[in-house]
Amino acid sequence: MNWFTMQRRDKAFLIVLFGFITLFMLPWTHSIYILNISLLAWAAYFGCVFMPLIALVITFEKSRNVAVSSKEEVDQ
Amino acid sequence: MKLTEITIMILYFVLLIVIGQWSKKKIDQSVHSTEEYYVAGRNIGTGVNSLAMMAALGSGGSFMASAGTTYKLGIPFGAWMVFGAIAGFAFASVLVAKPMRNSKKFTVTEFLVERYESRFFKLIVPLVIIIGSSMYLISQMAAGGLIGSYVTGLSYEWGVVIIAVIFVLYVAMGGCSRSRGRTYYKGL
Repeated sequence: MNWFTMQRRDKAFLIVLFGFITLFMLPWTHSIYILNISLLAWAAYFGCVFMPLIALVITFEKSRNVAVSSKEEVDQ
Repeated sequence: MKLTEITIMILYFVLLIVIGQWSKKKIDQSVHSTEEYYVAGRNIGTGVNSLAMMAALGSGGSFMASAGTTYKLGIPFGAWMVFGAIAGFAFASVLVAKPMRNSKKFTVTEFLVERYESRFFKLIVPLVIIIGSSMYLISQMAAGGLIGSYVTGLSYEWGVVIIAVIFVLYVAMGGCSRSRGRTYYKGL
């Protein structure tokens, strides 16, 4: 059994996650301020919202695909 | 002594023990009792699991340590600490949870022993888990003891002892199923 097969979406998700963290952890975000709060902090709060959203979309998309394929198997 | 606070705490703890006992009975009656105990019969859906994971973040660290460290080190630190937990869950879901689920194993040790066919992991993985979890649990107990002593007026030591006993009893009796169930309701 190959336990480590990773789907393309999962790979893309991890790349986006690492890219986001690397990009906003760089020093350029330390000196930009919005409403007196640094971009570094805004980026983290933004990530708290959009990362779970992407994860949920991937999860529900997978569940939908599984449901569709099992329905097709039953029809055949 | 604060009578109202202590009464609420005792009622909550009694409720936890009753739920634990009820779920122990349910697990004993189940055909797949081991699977039911360790992985809640593999029947936990995305919604319940998400809420339970969110509630699990609401620990002593969130209530006490994160507030304190954010105050001391600044908002960016607090923001990235929260995001670290969220990103960590997503990271672990893809890299750890999925292979674990596919392998049909109950514990990380079982999984690694079978994956790498080495008995070395049988010794080293539990050791790492015990050390890592102890660090985490000790801080949780300390936070529980502090909050408990503040709310009830009892000493810090008594707060730690009470919370440790209830926690061990509850998880030992109910296993994963009850643990997830409790965190789910906490999440709601």
